[in-house]
Amino acid sequence: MWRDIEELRRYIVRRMLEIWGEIEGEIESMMQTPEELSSIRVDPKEPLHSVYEYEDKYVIVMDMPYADNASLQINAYDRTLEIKAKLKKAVHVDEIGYRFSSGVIQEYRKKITLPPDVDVSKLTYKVLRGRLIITIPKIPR
Amino acid sequence: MPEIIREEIYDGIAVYEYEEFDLKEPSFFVLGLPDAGLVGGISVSHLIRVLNPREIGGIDILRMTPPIVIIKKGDPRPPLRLFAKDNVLILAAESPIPPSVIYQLSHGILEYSVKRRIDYMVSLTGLGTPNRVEISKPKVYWAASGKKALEEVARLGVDRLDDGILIGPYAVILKDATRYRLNSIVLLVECFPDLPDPEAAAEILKVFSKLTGTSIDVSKLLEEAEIIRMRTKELMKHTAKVMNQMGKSMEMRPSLLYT
Repeated sequence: MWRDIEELRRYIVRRMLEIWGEIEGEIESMMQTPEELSSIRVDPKEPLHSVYEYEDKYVIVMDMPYADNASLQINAYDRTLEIKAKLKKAVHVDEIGYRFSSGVIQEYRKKITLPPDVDVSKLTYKVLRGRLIITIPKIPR
Repeated sequence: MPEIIREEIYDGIAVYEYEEFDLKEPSFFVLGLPDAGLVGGISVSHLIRVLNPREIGGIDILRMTPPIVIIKKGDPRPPLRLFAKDNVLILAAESPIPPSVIYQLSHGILEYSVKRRIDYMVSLTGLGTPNRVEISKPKVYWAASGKKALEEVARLGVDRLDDGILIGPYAVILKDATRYRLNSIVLLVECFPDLPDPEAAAEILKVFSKLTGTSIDVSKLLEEAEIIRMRTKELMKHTAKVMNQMGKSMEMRPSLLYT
Protein backbone atom coordinates (compact mmCIF):
# COMPACT_ATOMS: atom_id res chain seq x y z
CA MET A 1 0.00 0.00 0.00
CA TRP A 2 2.81 2.41 0.88
CA ARG A 3 4.44 1.55 -2.43
CA ASP A 4 1.25 2.57 -4.28
CA ILE A 5 1.05 5.83 -2.37
CA GLU A 6 4.71 6.57 -3.13
CA GLU A 7 4.10 5.86 -6.84
CA LEU A 8 1.09 8.12 -6.83
CA ARG A 9 3.08 10.85 -5.10
CA ARG A 10 5.86 10.62 -7.68
CA TYR A 11 3.33 10.72 -10.53
CA ILE A 12 1.66 13.84 -9.12
CA VAL A 13 5.01 15.61 -8.67
CA ARG A 14 6.06 14.68 -12.19
CA ARG A 15 2.79 15.92 -13.72
CA MET A 16 2.95 19.16 -11.76
CA LEU A 17 6.47 19.80 -13.07
CA GLU A 18 5.33 19.05 -16.63
CA ILE A 19 2.35 21.37 -16.33
CA TRP A 20 4.50 24.12 -14.83
CA GLY A 21 6.95 23.73 -17.69
CA GLU A 22 4.09 24.10 -20.18
CA ILE A 23 2.84 27.21 -18.41
CA GLU A 24 6.31 28.76 -18.43
CA GLY A 25 6.71 27.96 -22.10
CA GLU A 26 3.36 29.55 -22.93
CA ILE A 27 4.17 32.68 -20.96
CA GLU A 28 7.60 32.93 -22.59
CA SER A 29 6.26 32.57 -26.10
CA MET A 30 3.48 35.07 -25.61
CA MET A 31 4.93 37.76 -23.38
CA GLN A 32 7.24 40.24 -24.95
CA THR A 33 9.97 42.29 -23.40
CA PRO A 34 9.58 46.07 -23.42
CA GLU A 35 12.23 46.19 -26.17
CA GLU A 36 10.27 43.79 -28.33
CA LEU A 37 7.01 45.60 -27.64
CA SER A 38 8.50 48.95 -28.56
CA SER A 39 9.84 47.44 -31.75
CA ILE A 40 6.26 46.73 -32.85
CA ARG A 41 5.24 50.36 -32.43
CA VAL A 42 5.19 52.04 -35.81
CA ASP A 43 6.09 55.70 -36.23
CA PRO A 44 3.35 57.11 -38.50
CA LYS A 45 6.06 58.92 -40.51
CA GLU A 46 7.90 55.68 -41.25
CA PRO A 47 6.55 53.66 -44.17
CA LEU A 48 6.39 49.88 -43.93
CA HIS A 49 8.83 48.00 -46.10
CA SER A 50 9.71 44.48 -47.20
CA VAL A 51 13.05 43.21 -48.42
CA TYR A 52 13.22 40.34 -50.92
CA GLU A 53 16.49 38.61 -51.61
CA TYR A 54 17.19 37.11 -55.01
CA GLU A 55 20.27 35.37 -56.32
CA ASP A 56 21.78 38.53 -57.77
CA LYS A 57 19.92 41.39 -56.12
CA TYR A 58 17.77 42.73 -53.32
CA VAL A 59 14.41 44.31 -53.97
CA ILE A 60 13.01 46.63 -51.33
CA VAL A 61 9.31 47.50 -51.53
CA MET A 62 8.27 50.48 -49.49
CA ASP A 63 4.58 51.22 -48.95
CA MET A 64 4.15 54.98 -49.30
CA PRO A 65 0.51 55.93 -49.73
CA TYR A 66 -0.10 59.57 -50.68
CA ALA A 67 3.61 60.13 -51.36
CA ASP A 68 4.47 62.94 -53.76
CA ASN A 69 6.84 61.20 -56.14
CA ALA A 70 8.33 64.50 -57.28
CA SER A 71 9.68 65.11 -53.76
CA LEU A 72 11.21 61.64 -53.40
CA GLN A 73 14.80 61.57 -52.13
CA ILE A 74 16.79 58.38 -51.99
CA ASN A 75 20.27 58.31 -50.46
CA ALA A 76 22.34 55.18 -50.25
CA TYR A 77 25.72 55.20 -48.57
CA ASP A 78 27.81 52.55 -46.88
CA ARG A 79 25.14 50.14 -45.70
CA THR A 80 22.40 52.66 -45.17
CA LEU A 81 19.42 53.48 -47.32
CA GLU A 82 17.66 56.71 -46.50
CA ILE A 83 14.28 57.62 -47.99
CA LYS A 84 12.40 60.89 -47.70
CA ALA A 85 9.24 62.03 -49.44
CA LYS A 86 6.57 64.62 -48.82
CA LEU A 87 2.91 63.62 -48.83
CA LYS A 88 0.58 64.99 -51.49
CA LYS A 89 -1.77 65.98 -48.72
CA ALA A 90 -1.25 66.25 -44.96
CA VAL A 91 -2.89 63.43 -43.03
CA HIS A 92 -4.04 63.98 -39.46
CA VAL A 93 -3.12 61.05 -37.26
CA ASP A 94 -6.66 60.78 -35.90
CA GLU A 95 -7.86 60.28 -39.51
CA ILE A 96 -5.92 57.02 -39.50
CA GLY A 97 -7.12 55.84 -36.13
CA TYR A 98 -4.52 57.05 -33.61
CA ARG A 99 -6.85 57.78 -30.74
CA PHE A 100 -4.59 59.40 -28.17
CA SER A 101 -2.21 61.23 -30.47
CA SER A 102 -2.41 64.45 -32.32
CA GLY A 103 -0.40 65.78 -35.17
CA VAL A 104 -0.13 65.73 -38.87
CA ILE A 105 1.89 63.50 -41.16
CA GLN A 106 3.35 65.58 -43.94
CA GLU A 107 6.35 63.53 -44.92
CA TYR A 108 7.83 60.06 -44.82
CA ARG A 109 11.30 59.31 -43.52
CA LYS A 110 12.98 55.96 -43.20
CA LYS A 111 16.50 54.59 -42.72
CA ILE A 112 17.22 50.96 -43.47
CA THR A 113 20.42 49.05 -42.82
CA LEU A 114 21.38 47.19 -45.95
CA PRO A 115 23.03 43.76 -46.17
CA PRO A 116 26.82 43.81 -46.55
CA ASP A 117 26.88 42.51 -50.13
CA VAL A 118 25.00 45.35 -51.88
CA ASP A 119 26.37 47.55 -54.61
CA VAL A 120 24.58 50.83 -53.89
CA SER A 121 26.23 52.52 -56.86
CA LYS A 122 23.95 50.48 -59.12
CA LEU A 123 20.74 51.18 -57.24
CA THR A 124 17.63 51.72 -59.38
CA TYR A 125 14.09 52.53 -58.37
CA LYS A 126 10.58 53.04 -59.65
CA VAL A 127 7.21 53.86 -58.17
CA LEU A 128 4.41 51.48 -59.00
CA ARG A 129 0.87 51.86 -57.74
CA GLY A 130 1.93 53.93 -54.73
CA ARG A 131 4.78 51.65 -53.72
CA LEU A 132 8.44 52.49 -54.08
CA ILE A 133 10.48 49.63 -55.49
CA ILE A 134 14.23 49.84 -55.02
CA THR A 135 16.48 47.30 -56.68
CA ILE A 136 20.06 46.97 -55.52
CA PRO A 137 22.32 44.39 -57.17
CA LYS A 138 24.60 42.23 -55.09
CA ILE A 139 28.34 42.64 -55.38
CA PRO A 140 29.50 39.76 -57.61
CA ARG A 141 31.57 37.21 -55.75
CA MET B 1 -21.19 44.43 -23.71
CA PRO B 2 -24.72 43.77 -25.01
CA GLU B 3 -26.74 41.30 -22.96
CA ILE B 4 -25.67 37.76 -23.76
CA ILE B 5 -28.67 35.53 -24.42
CA ARG B 6 -26.69 32.44 -25.26
CA GLU B 7 -23.18 31.27 -24.46
CA GLU B 8 -21.39 28.15 -25.64
CA ILE B 9 -17.93 27.15 -24.45
CA TYR B 10 -15.79 24.90 -26.64
CA ASP B 11 -12.48 24.04 -24.95
CA GLY B 12 -11.68 27.55 -23.75
CA ILE B 13 -13.42 29.30 -26.66
CA ALA B 14 -16.57 31.16 -25.65
CA VAL B 15 -19.13 31.99 -28.33
CA TYR B 16 -21.68 34.58 -27.30
CA GLU B 17 -24.92 35.50 -29.00
CA TYR B 18 -26.62 38.79 -28.19
CA GLU B 19 -29.87 38.15 -30.06
CA GLU B 20 -31.84 35.46 -31.83
CA PHE B 21 -31.09 35.23 -35.51
CA ASP B 22 -31.59 32.89 -38.41
CA LEU B 23 -29.57 32.61 -41.56
CA LYS B 24 -31.22 32.06 -44.91
CA GLU B 25 -30.06 29.11 -46.98
CA PRO B 26 -27.57 28.46 -48.31
CA SER B 27 -25.68 30.06 -45.43
CA PHE B 28 -22.10 31.28 -45.64
CA PHE B 29 -19.85 31.77 -42.62
CA VAL B 30 -17.13 34.19 -43.73
CA LEU B 31 -13.90 34.28 -41.77
CA GLY B 32 -11.59 37.27 -42.09
CA LEU B 33 -8.68 36.97 -39.69
CA PRO B 34 -5.63 39.25 -39.97
CA ASP B 35 -2.90 37.54 -41.95
CA ALA B 36 -0.95 37.95 -45.21
CA GLY B 37 -1.54 41.39 -46.67
CA LEU B 38 -4.34 41.82 -44.10
CA VAL B 39 -6.53 40.50 -46.93
CA GLY B 40 -8.94 38.73 -44.57
CA GLY B 41 -9.26 41.67 -42.22
CA ILE B 42 -9.64 44.32 -44.92
CA SER B 43 -12.15 42.19 -46.88
CA VAL B 44 -14.50 41.56 -43.99
CA SER B 45 -14.18 45.13 -42.79
CA HIS B 46 -15.39 46.28 -46.22
CA LEU B 47 -18.05 43.58 -46.29
CA ILE B 48 -19.40 44.84 -42.98
CA ARG B 49 -19.44 48.39 -44.28
CA VAL B 50 -21.24 47.48 -47.50
CA LEU B 51 -23.74 44.93 -46.16
CA ASN B 52 -24.42 46.74 -42.87
CA PRO B 53 -25.14 43.52 -40.96
CA ARG B 54 -26.23 43.39 -37.32
CA GLU B 55 -23.66 42.55 -34.68
CA ILE B 56 -25.19 39.41 -33.23
CA GLY B 57 -22.40 38.04 -31.08
CA GLY B 58 -18.73 37.48 -30.50
CA ILE B 59 -16.01 34.97 -29.72
CA ASP B 60 -13.66 35.22 -26.78
CA ILE B 61 -10.52 33.18 -26.26
CA LEU B 62 -10.72 32.69 -22.53
CA ARG B 63 -7.05 32.07 -21.75
CA MET B 64 -5.52 34.33 -24.39
CA THR B 65 -2.44 36.23 -23.31
CA PRO B 66 -2.40 39.15 -23.34
CA PRO B 67 -6.13 39.47 -22.65
CA ILE B 68 -7.90 41.74 -25.11
CA VAL B 69 -11.20 43.58 -25.05
CA ILE B 70 -12.39 45.81 -27.87
CA ILE B 71 -14.08 49.04 -26.84
CA LYS B 72 -16.78 50.39 -29.15
CA LYS B 73 -18.56 53.57 -28.03
CA GLY B 74 -17.50 52.81 -24.47
CA ASP B 75 -18.94 49.31 -24.63
CA PRO B 76 -16.68 46.24 -24.33
CA ARG B 77 -16.65 43.54 -27.00
CA PRO B 78 -14.74 40.28 -27.30
CA PRO B 79 -11.72 40.33 -29.64
CA LEU B 80 -13.61 38.48 -32.39
CA ARG B 81 -17.00 39.78 -33.44
CA LEU B 82 -19.90 38.13 -35.25
CA PHE B 83 -22.19 39.93 -37.70
CA ALA B 84 -25.14 38.51 -39.62
CA LYS B 85 -27.35 39.51 -42.49
CA ASP B 86 -29.57 37.36 -44.71
CA ASN B 87 -27.49 34.29 -45.48
CA VAL B 88 -24.09 35.66 -44.45
CA LEU B 89 -22.45 35.31 -41.04
CA ILE B 90 -19.19 37.24 -40.69
CA LEU B 91 -16.35 36.76 -38.23
CA ALA B 92 -14.04 39.77 -37.86
CA ALA B 93 -10.97 40.12 -35.64
CA GLU B 94 -9.13 43.27 -34.60
CA SER B 95 -5.85 41.54 -33.85
CA PRO B 96 -3.95 38.51 -35.15
CA ILE B 97 -4.57 35.16 -33.50
CA PRO B 98 -1.70 33.99 -31.26
CA PRO B 99 -0.27 30.67 -32.54
CA SER B 100 -0.84 29.00 -29.15
CA VAL B 101 -4.65 29.20 -29.49
CA ILE B 102 -5.05 28.44 -33.19
CA TYR B 103 -6.27 24.86 -32.69
CA GLN B 104 -8.72 25.76 -29.94
CA LEU B 105 -10.14 28.70 -31.84
CA SER B 106 -10.41 26.81 -35.14
CA HIS B 107 -12.23 23.90 -33.52
CA GLY B 108 -14.45 26.30 -31.61
CA ILE B 109 -15.42 27.89 -34.93
CA LEU B 110 -16.06 24.46 -36.46
CA GLU B 111 -18.22 23.39 -33.51
CA TYR B 112 -20.23 26.61 -33.72
CA SER B 113 -20.68 26.12 -37.47
CA VAL B 114 -22.13 22.67 -36.84
CA LYS B 115 -24.50 24.08 -34.23
CA ARG B 116 -25.62 26.83 -36.60
CA ARG B 117 -25.90 24.37 -39.50
CA ILE B 118 -23.70 26.48 -41.73
CA ASP B 119 -23.79 25.34 -45.35
CA TYR B 120 -20.40 26.77 -46.37
CA MET B 121 -17.47 28.11 -44.38
CA VAL B 122 -15.54 30.62 -46.47
CA SER B 123 -12.07 31.74 -45.41
CA LEU B 124 -10.65 34.83 -47.09
CA THR B 125 -6.88 35.01 -47.05
CA GLY B 126 -3.81 36.20 -48.88
CA LEU B 127 -1.15 34.19 -50.64
CA GLY B 128 2.13 36.02 -49.95
CA THR B 129 3.73 36.59 -53.35
CA PRO B 130 7.24 38.10 -53.50
CA ASN B 131 6.71 39.60 -56.96
CA ARG B 132 3.30 41.03 -56.08
CA VAL B 133 4.54 44.51 -56.87
CA GLU B 134 4.80 43.52 -60.55
CA ILE B 135 1.23 42.16 -60.62
CA SER B 136 -1.42 44.68 -61.58
CA LYS B 137 -4.41 42.37 -61.05
CA PRO B 138 -3.79 39.78 -58.32
CA LYS B 139 -5.12 36.33 -59.08
CA VAL B 140 -7.58 34.50 -56.83
CA TYR B 141 -7.37 30.76 -56.19
CA TRP B 142 -9.53 28.31 -54.31
CA ALA B 143 -9.01 25.30 -52.09
CA ALA B 144 -11.98 23.39 -50.71
CA SER B 145 -13.07 20.37 -48.74
CA GLY B 146 -16.50 18.75 -48.86
CA LYS B 147 -18.50 17.57 -51.85
CA LYS B 148 -20.86 20.54 -52.00
CA ALA B 149 -17.97 23.00 -51.59
CA LEU B 150 -16.16 21.45 -54.55
CA GLU B 151 -19.29 21.81 -56.66
CA GLU B 152 -19.67 25.47 -55.71
CA VAL B 153 -16.10 26.48 -56.47
CA ALA B 154 -16.25 24.77 -59.87
CA ARG B 155 -18.65 27.45 -61.12
CA LEU B 156 -16.60 30.41 -59.85
CA GLY B 157 -14.28 30.66 -62.81
CA VAL B 158 -11.15 30.91 -60.68
CA ASP B 159 -8.21 28.56 -60.63
CA ARG B 160 -7.76 25.83 -58.12
CA LEU B 161 -4.67 26.12 -55.92
CA ASP B 162 -3.03 23.03 -57.33
CA ASP B 163 -0.03 22.85 -55.11
CA GLY B 164 0.75 24.64 -51.90
CA ILE B 165 0.91 24.82 -48.14
CA LEU B 166 -1.52 26.66 -45.90
CA ILE B 167 -0.54 27.66 -42.38
CA GLY B 168 -2.64 29.04 -39.57
CA PRO B 169 -6.29 28.84 -38.49
CA TYR B 170 -7.57 28.40 -42.06
CA ALA B 171 -5.36 25.32 -42.42
CA VAL B 172 -7.05 23.71 -39.42
CA ILE B 173 -10.52 24.68 -40.61
CA LEU B 174 -9.93 23.40 -44.14
CA LYS B 175 -8.48 20.06 -43.11
CA ASP B 176 -10.83 19.36 -40.21
CA ALA B 177 -14.08 20.56 -41.83
CA THR B 178 -14.82 17.13 -43.29
CA ARG B 179 -14.53 15.53 -39.84
CA TYR B 180 -17.27 17.89 -38.71
CA ARG B 181 -19.28 17.16 -41.88
CA LEU B 182 -18.91 20.78 -42.97
CA ASN B 183 -18.13 22.26 -46.36
CA SER B 184 -15.16 24.60 -46.33
CA ILE B 185 -13.85 26.91 -49.03
CA VAL B 186 -10.66 28.93 -48.81
CA LEU B 187 -10.24 31.79 -51.26
CA LEU B 188 -6.64 32.92 -51.59
CA VAL B 189 -5.41 35.96 -53.49
CA GLU B 190 -1.89 36.94 -54.50
CA CYS B 191 -0.78 39.70 -52.16
CA PHE B 192 2.12 41.37 -50.44
CA PRO B 193 3.12 39.08 -47.56
CA ASP B 194 3.65 41.86 -45.03
CA LEU B 195 2.26 45.07 -46.51
CA PRO B 196 -1.47 45.90 -46.35
CA ASP B 197 -3.04 45.06 -49.70
CA PRO B 198 -6.55 46.51 -50.17
CA GLU B 199 -6.32 45.93 -53.94
CA ALA B 200 -5.93 42.19 -53.33
CA ALA B 201 -8.84 42.32 -50.87
CA ALA B 202 -11.00 43.89 -53.60
CA GLU B 203 -10.22 41.00 -55.97
CA ILE B 204 -11.14 38.39 -53.41
CA LEU B 205 -14.41 40.17 -52.64
CA LYS B 206 -15.38 40.06 -56.32
CA VAL B 207 -15.08 36.27 -56.22
CA PHE B 208 -16.88 36.10 -52.88
CA SER B 209 -19.69 38.14 -54.40
CA LYS B 210 -20.05 35.55 -57.17
CA LEU B 211 -19.93 32.68 -54.68
CA THR B 212 -22.67 34.00 -52.44
CA GLY B 213 -24.78 35.86 -54.99
CA THR B 214 -24.47 38.96 -52.81
CA SER B 215 -23.67 42.18 -54.64
CA ILE B 216 -20.53 43.78 -53.20
CA ASP B 217 -19.32 47.09 -54.59
CA VAL B 218 -15.56 47.37 -54.15
CA SER B 219 -15.14 50.82 -55.72
CA LYS B 220 -15.02 52.59 -52.36
CA LEU B 221 -12.46 50.08 -51.11
CA LEU B 222 -10.22 50.92 -54.05
CA GLU B 223 -10.79 54.67 -53.68
CA GLU B 224 -9.79 54.51 -50.05
CA ALA B 225 -6.90 52.09 -50.56
CA GLU B 226 -4.27 54.64 -49.57
CA ILE B 227 -5.93 55.66 -46.31
CA ILE B 228 -6.55 51.98 -45.51
CA ARG B 229 -2.86 51.27 -46.03
CA MET B 230 -1.95 54.05 -43.62
CA ARG B 231 -4.58 53.07 -41.11
CA THR B 232 -3.58 49.40 -41.00
CA LYS B 233 0.18 49.93 -40.83
CA GLU B 234 0.47 49.10 -37.14
CA LEU B 235 -1.84 46.08 -37.38
CA MET B 236 0.18 44.82 -40.35
CA LYS B 237 3.43 45.10 -38.44
CA HIS B 238 1.95 43.21 -35.49
CA THR B 239 0.41 40.59 -37.78
CA ALA B 240 3.71 40.11 -39.61
CA LYS B 241 5.40 39.37 -36.28
CA VAL B 242 2.77 36.77 -35.39
CA MET B 243 2.95 35.22 -38.87
CA ASN B 244 6.69 34.92 -38.42
CA GLN B 245 6.17 33.05 -35.15
CA MET B 246 3.84 30.67 -37.00
CA GLY B 247 6.32 30.06 -39.80
CA LYS B 248 3.92 31.54 -42.34
CA SER B 249 6.73 32.07 -44.86
CA MET B 250 6.66 28.29 -45.45
CA GLU B 251 3.59 28.91 -47.62
CA MET B 252 5.87 30.42 -50.23
CA ARG B 253 8.16 27.46 -50.55
CA PRO B 254 7.73 24.77 -53.23
CA SER B 255 6.28 21.40 -52.20
CA LEU B 256 8.61 18.47 -51.78
CA LEU B 257 6.44 15.78 -53.28
CA TYR B 258 5.26 15.64 -56.87
CA THR B 259 2.00 13.85 -56.00
